[in-house]
Amino acid sequence: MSEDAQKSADSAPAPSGSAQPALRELVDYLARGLVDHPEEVEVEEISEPDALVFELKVAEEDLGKVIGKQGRTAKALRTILSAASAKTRRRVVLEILE
Amino acid sequence: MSITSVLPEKREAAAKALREILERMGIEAEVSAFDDGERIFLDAHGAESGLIIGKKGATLDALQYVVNRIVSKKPNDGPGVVVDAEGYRGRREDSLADLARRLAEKAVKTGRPVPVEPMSPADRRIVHVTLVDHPGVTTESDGEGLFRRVVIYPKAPASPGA
Repeated sequence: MSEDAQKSADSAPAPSGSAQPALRELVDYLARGLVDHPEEVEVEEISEPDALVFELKVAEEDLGKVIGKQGRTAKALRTILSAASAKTRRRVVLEILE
Repeated sequence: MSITSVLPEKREAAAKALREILERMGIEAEVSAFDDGERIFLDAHGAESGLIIGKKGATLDALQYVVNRIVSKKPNDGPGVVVDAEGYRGRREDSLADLARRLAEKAVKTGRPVPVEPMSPADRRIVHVTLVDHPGVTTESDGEGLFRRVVIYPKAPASPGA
């Protein structure tokens, strides 16, 4: 599959609503808002056959900021991401790299 | 410096954060913001409010949690932000208060503690606040993390003048 074909598959029309989610930008915005070192936030999008995976990398001292006590922040991020992905009809996974 | 002086600034920052998040979620909604001098209220309205609310308000709670973390980096840092959609929280508050009062009557009638199902800190607060002036019961939270719940205890009959 060519790169272009892959891209168009990702941007296939969603079932409802005119606005489309920008999931990578969503993860990026949320992470930058939470951390002390936004310039060190990196989000990589990996398209796997059964899911869209977002790998989030932040400065080591910011890990607690994106994970939170008892993982509460990470859980909130995943809840928001999964609500946003309802329109994409794809399973979305957020991985926080340590 | 009084808390009021930072409110408008924080209110606009919180509203902006929620708008930016919803836009990237692909959700078309208007966000209105106001405050009562102590807390900031954001209400999102539009055709897709169901997506913003989620099951039992789970998405709304997640948005509220994250918006609070974004506008105040430390916990308990100034006024809190309440994120709502189409007045959902008010409706849920009414139904939780009804539930709390029914379970309090049960505690009084049976003379036994009545545990409420585990809920979020905000929902537990509604149960506590609803029953704070109830003559027949007291409330306490019990359990850890996701299993933390309110338990409603019947009061021992009050002695006159106590």
